Amino acid sequence: MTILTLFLSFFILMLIGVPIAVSLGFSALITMALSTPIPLSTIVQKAFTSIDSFTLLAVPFFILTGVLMGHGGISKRLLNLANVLTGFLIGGLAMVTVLASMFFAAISGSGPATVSAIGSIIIPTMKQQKYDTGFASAITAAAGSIGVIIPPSIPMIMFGIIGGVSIGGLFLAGIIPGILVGISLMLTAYLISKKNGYKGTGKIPTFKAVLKATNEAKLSLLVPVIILGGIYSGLFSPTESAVVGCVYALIVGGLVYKELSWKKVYESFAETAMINVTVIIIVSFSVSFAYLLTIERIPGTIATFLVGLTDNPIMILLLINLFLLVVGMFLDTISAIVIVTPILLPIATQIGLDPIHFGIIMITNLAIGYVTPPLGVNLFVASNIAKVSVERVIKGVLPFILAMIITVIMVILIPGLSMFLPNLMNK
Amino acid sequence: MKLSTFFDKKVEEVILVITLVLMVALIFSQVSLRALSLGSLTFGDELSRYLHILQVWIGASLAIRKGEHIRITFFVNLFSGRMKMALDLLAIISWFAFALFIAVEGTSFINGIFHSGQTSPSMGIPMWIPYISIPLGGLLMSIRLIQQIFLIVKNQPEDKELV
Amino acid sequence: ACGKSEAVSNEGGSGGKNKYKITINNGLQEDSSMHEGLMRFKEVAEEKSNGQLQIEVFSGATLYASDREAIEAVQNGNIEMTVPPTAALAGFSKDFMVLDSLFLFDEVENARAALDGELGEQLLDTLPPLGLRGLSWGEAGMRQITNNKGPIEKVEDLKGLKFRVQENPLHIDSFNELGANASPFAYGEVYSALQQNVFNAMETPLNLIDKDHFYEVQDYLTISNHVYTGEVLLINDNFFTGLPEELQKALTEAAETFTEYQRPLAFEEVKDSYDVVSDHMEINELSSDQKKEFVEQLAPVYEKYKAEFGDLLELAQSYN
Ligand code: NA
Ligand code: NA
Repeated sequence: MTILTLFLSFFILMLIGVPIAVSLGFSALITMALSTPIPLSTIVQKAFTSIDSFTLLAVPFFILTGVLMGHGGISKRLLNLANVLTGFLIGGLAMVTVLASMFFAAISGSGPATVSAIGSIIIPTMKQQKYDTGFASAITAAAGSIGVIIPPSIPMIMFGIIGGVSIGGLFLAGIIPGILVGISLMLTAYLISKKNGYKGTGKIPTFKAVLKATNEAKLSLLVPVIILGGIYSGLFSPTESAVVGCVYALIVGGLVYKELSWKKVYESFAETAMINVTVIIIVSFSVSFAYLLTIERIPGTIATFLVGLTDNPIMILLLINLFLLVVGMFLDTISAIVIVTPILLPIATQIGLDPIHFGIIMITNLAIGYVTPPLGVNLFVASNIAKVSVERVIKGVLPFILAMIITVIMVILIPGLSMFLPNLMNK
Repeated sequence: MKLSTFFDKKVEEVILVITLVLMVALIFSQVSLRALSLGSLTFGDELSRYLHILQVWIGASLAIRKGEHIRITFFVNLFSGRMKMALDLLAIISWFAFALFIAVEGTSFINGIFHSGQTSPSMGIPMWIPYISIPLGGLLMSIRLIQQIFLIVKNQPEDKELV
Repeated sequence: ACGKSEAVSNEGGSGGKNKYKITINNGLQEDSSMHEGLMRFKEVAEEKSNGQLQIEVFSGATLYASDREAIEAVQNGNIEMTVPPTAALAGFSKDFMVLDSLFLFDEVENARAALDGELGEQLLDTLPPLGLRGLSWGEAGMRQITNNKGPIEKVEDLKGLKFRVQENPLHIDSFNELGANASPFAYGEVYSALQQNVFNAMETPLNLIDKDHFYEVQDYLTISNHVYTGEVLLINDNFFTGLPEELQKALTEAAETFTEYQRPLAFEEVKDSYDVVSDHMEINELSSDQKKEFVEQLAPVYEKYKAEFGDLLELAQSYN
């Protein structure tokens, strides 16, 4: 009964357009008031304590790094490098989009940020070169998902905090699956481009050209080295590495590239804080929601139910996977993680999965959610940039969704894809 | 810039920027001090956490004005005219009720903490001070939402699609 | 503090008497002696109250991520009970900080005697005005020092260690005075911070070195026994005093059983943990002569906090 009240009020509020954060908090409030003896001030206390976390500070810091890099002329240089490396292939610009998104993913921790950074430059170019606009926006939207799989990644930070899982470990584990998603998107784009006759420049790049583009992008390419290198050499924790990333971005964009004016710096901080607010406020209320789930012992009930259906771990995982795909269709990544992690993680560990491996499965799944309708944030951002209807982007993105699902299944069945790097580091 | 515009669109933003600058400065100093073995900033961690909470709750109000809160619009967009307006109003009113609850219940919660004399673990400041962000945010949100109701009725809210 | 005891139902097989639901938060995992102790508490209290008390235990910090938050929730009546370490109570009642003084008790037995005696009584007496009540004591053993540089045998050996301490001014001051580079750090990030050498030393009870696998990322364990970790079985005061007298009695008796039952378990737990970590770490134990050097070095810190503790410090020391 309690659970029915909770989920029903949540879905109704969410459907009529109440922000997801408020829908979570308000449905918890309604449920506490109607069907539990829990005092309502719990919601106020949780609103504070849920975000009173040092680790959570990594979120604004990683957003800020990405924003400063964007305004400081970094994405331009990364795109240029990607263009030299893959522009000559069939479907050249599509390949460039994916590769540039992978580069940018190593700086940015968010999917939509990756889409807007890369898309705002590449989509107009693709239009000029007679690529179908729907296809151009679709590949940009899909490639943007890599933003949260290749570290740094805000969803991984959330998962790490909520599940008590090593964020450094998750970051390492995401690298290979992220590259794999990139390759699968490139293959798909190649097949489509071949069919539609999208050609590349055809000019295989000279070693000198590659060297020149790499040299121009070197300060941008250093960011992931500083962030991941800083974490794994033991100089700083994930949160601290994010702040070092910010300061580095300020120095490179402001003093080296000289593309950051004081005004742009102010705007970058304001923009970052606003994005951060919309992410963290969800956490602030979701914890009351999760508290109700816990005190009603819901995760255990669901686990018992699932394990009762089948005791084959692979089947359970595939079921979880299906569930996550559906969740990703309707919820944004952060909300999905904060709501679903406390339910699914115990099940995953119960069937013997490493929490890090499970985290990567979950995040890759939810990354697909960025491009699945009806709620696919990357679709909206891409359609907004390309000035094309969301429907056309959706049509274009379907083959890419298929490619990503195949990749997720590989990530599930081959634990080594995620666990190889973390295990290597632990030796 | 007119003073009214400043209060409508800038005050909160300035607070957000200042808190973010302070957070970066505090944590960066903390890392630098430790990396160079120059001692530690024992309060840096706690202070930046409390600044962050302030930022989020003040920002939650500004995000209303800018139409930035993450929400689902595909369902209400199936409707148009009076029906859509009715749904929009219903959403805003539910939201308002919740924000008001946070403001009121938050105040009484803080009142309790104020009288208990609890202090923060690191800086030792009274614990009600950091907690104030919550009812303050609730109050600011309530005010913004009333403004929003007027804007909807006059049919001119700034509403971006989900970002 | 607005908690009140509310009867959850008038039905059921307890002769038409009201039932009272009690939710207990426990920050430690389900395989801890604390969890076992609480389950025993539940059993006894439910039995002695003929089922009028219905107790539910949530272990593993699933309800509240931090002890501060859980105490606040009990104070506010959001839940009825929690079992925090005494260190977490210092922000609520300053007097509890006296227990964080380094090398306060020589032996676990002395600490137990102090808490069961006059010192414990004085400390628990500070709670009811705050809306809290301490029913009885549990424990998590003594805190020990671990690090990656070498065995700690003299004060000198702490010098320059990047030392993680709790968010506790007394501990920060103490370990800095001993020459370490001490700073507080979020417990949830400590494991990876140690693994990555952000910190190379910390101090924590043995059972956590075992259960949270710190032995994987720390090479040396020094049995320093520098702080006794007492835990308080804490209940909302208004809830408690609002209960019928026979139920108060049932709770008080169950709480006594809890202490008798949990302490030996905790002692066993520490021994088991010692066996586990000894396979992975090089262990040395501070002799009483070695400890003396630490105590002397800490004189300025004791002096600094003397005013705050008043007579409590001497009272505590009198149990050695
Ligand atoms: Na990323
Ligand atoms: Na979706």
